[in-house]
Amino acid sequence: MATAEQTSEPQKAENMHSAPSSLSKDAWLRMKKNKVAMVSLGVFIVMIVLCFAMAWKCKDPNIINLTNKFAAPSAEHWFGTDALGRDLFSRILYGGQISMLVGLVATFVSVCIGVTYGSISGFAGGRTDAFMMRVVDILLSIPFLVLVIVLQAVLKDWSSDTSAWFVETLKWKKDFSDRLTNIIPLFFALGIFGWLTLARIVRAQVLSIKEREFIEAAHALGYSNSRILFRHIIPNTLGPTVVYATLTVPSFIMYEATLSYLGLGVKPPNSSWGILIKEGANYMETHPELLLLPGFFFSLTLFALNFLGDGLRDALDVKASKD
Amino acid sequence: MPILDIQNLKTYFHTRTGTTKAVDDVSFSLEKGEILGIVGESGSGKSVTCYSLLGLLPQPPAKIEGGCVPFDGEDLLHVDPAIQRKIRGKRISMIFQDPMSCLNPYLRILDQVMEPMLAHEPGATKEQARERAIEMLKKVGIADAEERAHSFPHEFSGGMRQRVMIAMALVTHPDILLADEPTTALDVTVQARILRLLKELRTELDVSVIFITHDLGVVAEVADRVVVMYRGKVVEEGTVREIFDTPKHPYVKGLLACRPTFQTTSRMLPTVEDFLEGKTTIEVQEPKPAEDTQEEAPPEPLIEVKNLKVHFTQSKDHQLIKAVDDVSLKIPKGKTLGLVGESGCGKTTTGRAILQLVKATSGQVFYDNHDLCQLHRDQLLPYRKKLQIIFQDPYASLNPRMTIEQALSEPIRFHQICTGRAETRDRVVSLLEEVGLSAEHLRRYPHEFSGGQRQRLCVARALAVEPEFIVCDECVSAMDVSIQAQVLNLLRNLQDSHNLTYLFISHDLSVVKFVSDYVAVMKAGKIVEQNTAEDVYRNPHQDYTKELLAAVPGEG
Amino acid sequence: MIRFIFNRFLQGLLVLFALYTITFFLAKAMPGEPFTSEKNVSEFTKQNLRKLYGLDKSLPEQYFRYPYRVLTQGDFGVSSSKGKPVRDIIANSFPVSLVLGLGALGFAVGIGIPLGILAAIRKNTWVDWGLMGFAMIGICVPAFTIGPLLQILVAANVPWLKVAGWGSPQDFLLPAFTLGLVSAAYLARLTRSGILEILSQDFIRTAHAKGLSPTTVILKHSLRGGLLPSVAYLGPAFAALISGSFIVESIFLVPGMGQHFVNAAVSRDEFLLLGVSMFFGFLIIVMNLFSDILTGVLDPRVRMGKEGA
Repeated sequence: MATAEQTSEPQKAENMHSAPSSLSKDAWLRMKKNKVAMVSLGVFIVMIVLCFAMAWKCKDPNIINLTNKFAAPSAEHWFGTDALGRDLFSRILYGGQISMLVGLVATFVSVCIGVTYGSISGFAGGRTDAFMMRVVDILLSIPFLVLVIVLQAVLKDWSSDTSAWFVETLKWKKDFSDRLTNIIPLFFALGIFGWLTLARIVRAQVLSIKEREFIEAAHALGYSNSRILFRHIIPNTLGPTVVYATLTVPSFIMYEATLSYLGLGVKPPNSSWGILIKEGANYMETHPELLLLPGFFFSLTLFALNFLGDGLRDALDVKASKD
Repeated sequence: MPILDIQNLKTYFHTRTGTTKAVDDVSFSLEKGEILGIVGESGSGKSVTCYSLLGLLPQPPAKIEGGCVPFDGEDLLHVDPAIQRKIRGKRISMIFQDPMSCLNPYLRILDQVMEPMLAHEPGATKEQARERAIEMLKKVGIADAEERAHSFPHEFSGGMRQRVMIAMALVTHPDILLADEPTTALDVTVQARILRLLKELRTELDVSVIFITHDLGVVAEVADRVVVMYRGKVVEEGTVREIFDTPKHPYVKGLLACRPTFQTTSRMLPTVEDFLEGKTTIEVQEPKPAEDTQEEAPPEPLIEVKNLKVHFTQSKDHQLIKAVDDVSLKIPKGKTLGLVGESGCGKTTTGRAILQLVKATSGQVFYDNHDLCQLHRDQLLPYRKKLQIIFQDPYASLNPRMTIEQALSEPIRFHQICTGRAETRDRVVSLLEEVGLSAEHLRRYPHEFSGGQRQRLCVARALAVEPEFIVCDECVSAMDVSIQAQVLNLLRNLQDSHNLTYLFISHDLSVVKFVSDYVAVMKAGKIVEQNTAEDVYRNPHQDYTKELLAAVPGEG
Repeated sequence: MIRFIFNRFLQGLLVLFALYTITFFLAKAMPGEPFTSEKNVSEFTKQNLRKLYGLDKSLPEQYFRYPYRVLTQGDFGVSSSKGKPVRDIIANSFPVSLVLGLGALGFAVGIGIPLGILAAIRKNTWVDWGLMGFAMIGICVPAFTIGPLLQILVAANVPWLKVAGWGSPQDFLLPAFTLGLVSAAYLARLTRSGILEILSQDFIRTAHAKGLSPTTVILKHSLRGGLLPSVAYLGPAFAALISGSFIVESIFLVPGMGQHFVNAAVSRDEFLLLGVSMFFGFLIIVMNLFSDILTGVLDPRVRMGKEGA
């Protein structure tokens, strides 16, 4: 409504003395002014560095030392030890590795599937689109966690069989193979159902962009359908996709924690934040730090990712509505 | 005796990028019982002036920096918010441009029309409000008001929704009505009726009206006095006759000169810039060469459309919509055929169908002895170079994520008109220069340009593939008159230098007359009348054509 | 409107059918066998049990047999891990889950929506930031952290509230609150953004131009449209509540359906798994239908079938 926001014609022509700026650059500049989002980005980067880079330098989180249970923080054990004498700090870091790995990889899988499915559906239109979206709607109506739990139950023993196969046939180290195959079912389960909403979002974007005049101009210029889809439509759907992907990571981390809490998530020798919180809850009255410390790291990461996603959404939204 | 006196109003917008002086020391007054027209282009501050009066601007970023507006003993700019609320809707009402978005889609019409009375007349009962609302709806011309009042806004047409807004604004019998571009979004025949309605209601209800518009024709039709605004200031004030016959300020002269009317005979339009820079009007006008009038036989048609039909089935209720219903056209080479009609008549669909962007249900489109309708997508590829289109909305016509260089190089490389980066870039630069831009714009993105510049970029892109035929689909409809003149001149020049053939689609009859050699009038999917431009405008045969021509504001 | 409801209902049936198919095949794909967790059951008994439950028949037969038995005899089979008919298990635990779920929904709607409206009205003030901060806590701190923390707090300070178990009427308060918190957080955010979206529309400017009081503008003009995203979320919110109930039930020792579901997955109890999944699915469909109807009530364009609503 604000009529004066419209820069009048002569003014806009005069303004073009600064460097050219793409939409992405404009959005980034806008986001830099959002302090909360920038702090969140910083926190997230710190968390990644901590959990992945620093973890290599820490003690083995699985060494059990029953003589040193529930130790207070010391120079040797920065956060003290847990009920089995294991170093809490390194357990938190290694746990973070798993939690974030699950979140990031499962999100990546979801994004790949979702963007492909959504853009094909939206671009095809008509009956194909209606059918593809009907499938999505139906799958979406099924409670996610229910399906994931069932899927996890099904895949439970698959992982130990596959691990054995990796060790024998591919000659991988047992420990590494175990750790890997214990998380793969989770990636699988989350990835299989996590792309649904993203597909819907991408499809809605594609549908609206498809009708825009610059796409009609592309048709009028004789471009092929694939060129139009990949070079013209999909790059313009990136905004909401990036926002949604950023918000998906924390929700997947949360799912992983929930499943681990129920005993259906990652399994030893892996530990995740979810498992740590569950173990900590057992001792919450006497040693609350076992619950609070992993809980704090977990929640902080989720806070950071959510605020980052919100910030991205605000930074990208203005342009989207203007165009 | 002025009923409203605006003195030295200053409204500035403070944003992160700077301060915009939207309204910069504006003074004028509204006499009792008159219709005062405020004319200006986008960015002139005409709407912001009225929003300031009613306190409808969000106070950051807007700020009323100065001025006072005495009204009935109060200063509207500095009045207590509670009292200001009592004035709004009761003493001073406002109607806006787009009635669809301005009516609450979730509430019934009757409910919304009753509201002002219930809010401002504490003694009124629901029954009384209901009666007055229905009476008002009847007065504004809604047939079967009792029944239709229970509908929702989306069930009404655009013209009817605007009538509802007028009823809603006048239900409390206010002293002043502020009307912000109320007819801009309406068809020309509907507009004519609404303007007539406003004039009647002004007399009947003794309301003083401020009518904001960018259309000089509308102002000539409806207003008694006129105020012209430019870049936040009032540049001229006077009666309609004074402004139109003896304009003083160069901007006003330019504004009047640069819009095409039925009387315009020159090939090029003067632009506002010409006047502001002090060039006189005489040099710029060149009357059309005498040979161009009636007697000459039309050259060979470049495009021939035969019995074109485009039918859609609406998915909801499976009704057949005959968007284009048996249309036949001949578009002579090197000339312009204007296709004119109101919204929904099928002119846009016709243009797209000719270009095979929309599949025709039946019929033939002949170009170069081939029927384009019979060709597959691959077979059409070579023809894509020859037939191009420019759209209405310059903001949506360019890919926001590509630089200008990328957008213009793509068609050149795709159709292999040039090879190698250097050659392509040279060609792109020469295209930019042809449309009045330059090489410094290569690395820029579309959102950095103004609307007029973007439209030029679209023209450049269309030219990149060296077409013979261009469909101009309402391509100047979304523009200020001054920019419109520039773009129309550009199209003319290009037609002369490249020997282009145009199909010019528009709802604006004045522009169509200026631009076209031949004109076809369309209604409900059919061609109603088709002839040379002069004939259609001087001697219309069909009633519908006559109705359309009579409805054009300022010409009747 | 009737057509609208009917369409949604049909779609619901389709969902139920898809859920059944997927769950059925997944349950069959689970390694291990039912009745294997029973101690010392002789092979002969196992054979008989299998025959009884048609487990010796072919897959397609079993596929059709199950719904047939459910619909005609109300027989959901027997739980292999508990040894009781699934129907009884569900009948006992469903009321508990229902109370828990409705209580949680009540908390979610009762806390989330008013707070969201408040945050929208006081946009960009401390009230707004504070409320949205709380909402973020609800989203980022999992129920299995908040739950135990609440238990500690309540045990220390509120003597008349038990922290676990399900005997007296007030026992549902703590678990329902914990469960509803996440949904309350989402609803608060959705309501806030929904209302802000409406407030930026042109017809709100018209309402102001008519001189209506700010209260009227918010309550009468912006609520109907502003609540639409929240109402649309009610269906998925309920689904989330059901999923969340698994955790809350175990923390607060609530004997609801959720724990049965998890146990069934862990112990490969086919019939219990199927029974509970179908039941959950059915509840969610009903809730989705309700949410759709409510959307139709609020938005006339939807119920009249206008495009682009």
